[in-house]
Amino acid sequence: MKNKELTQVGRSALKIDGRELVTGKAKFSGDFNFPNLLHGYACRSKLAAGYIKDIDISQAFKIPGVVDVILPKDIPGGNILGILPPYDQPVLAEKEIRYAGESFCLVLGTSVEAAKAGARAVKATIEPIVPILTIDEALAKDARKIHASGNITVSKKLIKGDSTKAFNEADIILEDTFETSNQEHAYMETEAVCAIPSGDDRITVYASCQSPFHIRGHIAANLNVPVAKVKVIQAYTGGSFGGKDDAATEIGSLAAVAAVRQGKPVMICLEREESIVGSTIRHASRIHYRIAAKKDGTITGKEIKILLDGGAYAAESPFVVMKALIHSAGPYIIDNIKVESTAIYTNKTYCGAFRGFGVPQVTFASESMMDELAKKLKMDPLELRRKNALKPGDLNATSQVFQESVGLIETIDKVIDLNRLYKLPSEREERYLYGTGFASMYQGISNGAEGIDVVGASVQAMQDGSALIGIGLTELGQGSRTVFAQIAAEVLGISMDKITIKQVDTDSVHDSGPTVASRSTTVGGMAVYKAAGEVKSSLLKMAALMFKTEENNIILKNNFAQLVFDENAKIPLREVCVAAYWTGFPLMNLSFSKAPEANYDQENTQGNIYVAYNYGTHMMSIRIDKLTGEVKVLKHVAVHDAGKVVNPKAFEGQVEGASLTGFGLAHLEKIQYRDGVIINPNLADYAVPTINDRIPSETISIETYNPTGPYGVKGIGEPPVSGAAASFANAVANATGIRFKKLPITRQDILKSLIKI
Amino acid sequence: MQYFLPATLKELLLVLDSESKSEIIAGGTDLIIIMEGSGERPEKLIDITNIEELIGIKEEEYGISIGAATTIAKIAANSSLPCCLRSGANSIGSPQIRNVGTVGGNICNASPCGDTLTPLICLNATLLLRSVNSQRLISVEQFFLGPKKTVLKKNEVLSEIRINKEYLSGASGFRMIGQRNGQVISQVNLAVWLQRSKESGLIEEIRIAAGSVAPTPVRIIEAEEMLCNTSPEPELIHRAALLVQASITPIDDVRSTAQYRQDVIIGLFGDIMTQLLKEPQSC
Ligand SMILES: Cc1cc2nc3c(=O)[nH]c(=O)nc-3n(C[C@H](O)[C@H](O)[C@H](O)COP(=O)(O)OP(=O)(O)OC[C@H]3O[C@@H](n4cnc5c(N)ncnc54)[C@H](O)[C@@H]3O)c2cc1C
Repeated sequence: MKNKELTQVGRSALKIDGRELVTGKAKFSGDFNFPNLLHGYACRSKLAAGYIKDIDISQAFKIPGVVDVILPKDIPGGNILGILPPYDQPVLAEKEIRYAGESFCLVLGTSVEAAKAGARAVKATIEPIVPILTIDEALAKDARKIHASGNITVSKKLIKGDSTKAFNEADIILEDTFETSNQEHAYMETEAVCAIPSGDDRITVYASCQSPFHIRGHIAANLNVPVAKVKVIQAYTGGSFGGKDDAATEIGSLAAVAAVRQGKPVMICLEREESIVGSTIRHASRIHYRIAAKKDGTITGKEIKILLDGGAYAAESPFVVMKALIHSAGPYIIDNIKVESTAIYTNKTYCGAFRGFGVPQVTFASESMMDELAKKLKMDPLELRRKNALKPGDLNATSQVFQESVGLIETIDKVIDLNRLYKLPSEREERYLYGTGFASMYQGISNGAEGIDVVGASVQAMQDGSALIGIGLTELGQGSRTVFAQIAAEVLGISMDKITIKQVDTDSVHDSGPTVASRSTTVGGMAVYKAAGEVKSSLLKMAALMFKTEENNIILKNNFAQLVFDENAKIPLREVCVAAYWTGFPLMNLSFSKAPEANYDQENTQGNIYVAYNYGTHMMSIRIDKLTGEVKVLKHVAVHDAGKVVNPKAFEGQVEGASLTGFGLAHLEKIQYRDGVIINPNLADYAVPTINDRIPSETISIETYNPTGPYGVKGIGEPPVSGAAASFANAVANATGIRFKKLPITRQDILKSLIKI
Repeated sequence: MQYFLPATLKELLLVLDSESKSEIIAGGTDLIIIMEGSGERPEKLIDITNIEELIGIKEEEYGISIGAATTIAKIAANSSLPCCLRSGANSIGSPQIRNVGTVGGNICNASPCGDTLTPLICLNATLLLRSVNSQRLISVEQFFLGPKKTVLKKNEVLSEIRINKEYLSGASGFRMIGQRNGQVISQVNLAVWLQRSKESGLIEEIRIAAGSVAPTPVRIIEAEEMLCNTSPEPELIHRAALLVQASITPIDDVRSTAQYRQDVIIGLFGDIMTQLLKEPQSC
């Protein structure tokens, strides 16, 4: 599968769904309209913690247009949410409120307005309890237990070598504590679903979601029907970034329960405020970091304690804990590592997956420490990174070894070159401070320690020479459909305009797990590659018969089967397809790609976890206005080893978008609470970056060949978040001489510190 | 809830003059959010965006008259208006908000952070308030009583904003700071208007107003007095900035700490003054 002459893979193909998206033709869940459609609106708790004593729904029915109110007891199945054990979350809270914004009933109305007015009219008597709002409160000795199991959601360890010894023998020891805030996904489209009961005793749910199969399972469990009765169709989805799992499952289940009860279609579209308070956000964190090194800059040991504030429910905390654990030591050769990673329950909005999945938090800590170490050693920060960088054949933190596709040093060298060429503005005005920061990072591709990683894809060639692809991974704006089309086009020799990718409909595509962990191109792409390969072999066999020659004399190219040695001898693929059909050669195939299973010691997290890692080094140059604390990013370069890049334009889009998310995390975005209630649940006061806040990112790819992905691909969706966030923090430190230990580092924080000195 | 769309000022004043709970709506960019937040609805919602008499920017003998229902976008784009007002208008929200939001709405909403309020104060604007039987002119400085509180009576509408000729000449500037660059609400905003003597170059008159630093936008007279009849050097500008800082009473809120408001206003003031003295024309 080495890359010879590629025609589709490696080309900046246009987004295949771009036209319907920009012309407004694409239908999102909230765009649907059905006769007798009802709208659901949830009643949510205003208190962060309390016991539900009574819910009086009588007044709601006095509102014109209110049709029904769904209470926990009306859910026929388990009233259960949560993708992973410990399944600690209800769809509707029944006895106890664990965060402000938690829903406890759903009002159905003939219009959104009626449903909302009905929800306001519901009188809930909730006996307040003192909320537990910080990690320290949760871990206090006789703290109230938020869940029966206690306030620790999950805790994991990673132990490699003997860190105690490394610290005893170190020339230099540095230690510090870092914190990061919660971050909101802020997708353009909020969570939305529409459930339609059908005459055949089944239910169809259109959803804006990331993992339709999760939703399908939960709907069945909450309806108490066999999974096969439920069909989930992923409608066009206006962004997800990890966020449209849990809350989409919550409203998908609720809409289905309501639709079945009423025998009518039910739509639920979250308002922006609900989308912020009532769906997952990024874990806030506190990370204690110790680093042991030799005088020459060799890092000999690390001891890290990670505390993740996961809010009221487990959601994906168990996985985020693992991801943070595995990545916290950074992309370096370190023989002795001890990490403990723990997620904590608090009475706040629950946390889950968000682009980067725990890696941005630990990378900020790790890369801040790298710069501090460089300063202490009077070493160039890039040289220090280079000296310790992982290379092919080295043991990483989990002692996994990759013989190929470890391009970290190349990314560092590229940044060293660029930095040498780049000159900060020479005309340094009194008013400004200038600085440059660097960060190296890595991020595991595939589910890894998070479970089995299988994708099923179908490829069907039609008699007119076109092809239909089905895969259970979702397009969320990241461009995966285009990438799958490119891979199929490459294999089949068909042009892109003849390829169609199915909407993800759980009836017609195979469960492919969640669209997460930067795995689509690698694991999903491999399934498409294999299925297309099977269809290709039918076509080659047929063409060989038609040409009266051997299969290996034929290639499929530009919608033709042609002879290798005479490109004028060619038969249109559509004729080959027709002939194959009538000859009885299969034109459709369902293939599976399974990533090698993670194989590791669960006690110490040592062994093989991911199929590959993306490696990257970022450089960010900034200018700080001493009068206001404003920061202008003058230059940002993101150099990544993402294996073979299938679509350079889409790659650039991913790097720019993820970098901006990292910049937001590092500089602008902060969920603020008062008494456990989010006080900035809107995009005016929660400062997600706007188009005017965009940073001038330049994208550079160092292509290595990853043997576990088709054509050598890896993934790029998440990694730049960490690189941009950490390099921003280091740039601020470089410009001001002040080490900020908490993200975001806002204008206010900067000005305050500048005035102090 | 009844919805009214009067076509003339007269009709409007008649509808307004009743006992029922009514609310004027212009662009609705403040009001709708308030209504959605509380779930409450007035008995009458009176839309004033169809009344031509309330829309437009006209030159008058005394100076300029701006109809209260003129959109923020129109104000930002009108080159006959002073720089501070145009840039204040231009820093409101996004193009979508500026296209529907009105200057009258910005004023009557009386948020301490409204971005046209400080410019209007430093331009010494007057407001024409009308009701069915009477009308009165009031200085914009006297209009605000507190956050969301004004002297406007239940049966009154703000019909126009007047700026006198003398304030159309001279130099003016506006600066604001928020949490980010785009679509952002002021943590602090500041407007300055000044007139320099043609002969001596000394500042003959100066007006300074700061927003989001007290319950209403505030004029800072002490600093004005310090700078009057001077040709300020950086040293003096800094001393005036300290006076500005001392005159404000900011609070901590979701957008900013009081501390930041205190700290940043010095920089904003220095920035505007330096620019006004160096290149007063750039807007
Ligand atoms: C996303 C967003 C961003 C925003 N950003 C900013 C910003 O950066 N800076 C800023 O200053 N504002 C901002 N705003 C607030 C708002 O857009 C402005 O205050 C705007 O000028 C309000 O005008 P309007 O016509 O929409 O007012 P409306 O909402 O129609 O009315 C506001 C209030 O004024 C009353 N009213 C309106 N006109 C009159 C009149 N002629 N006489 C008597 N009473 C009247 C109404 O009854 C109501 O109480 C923002 C709003 C949004 C939604």
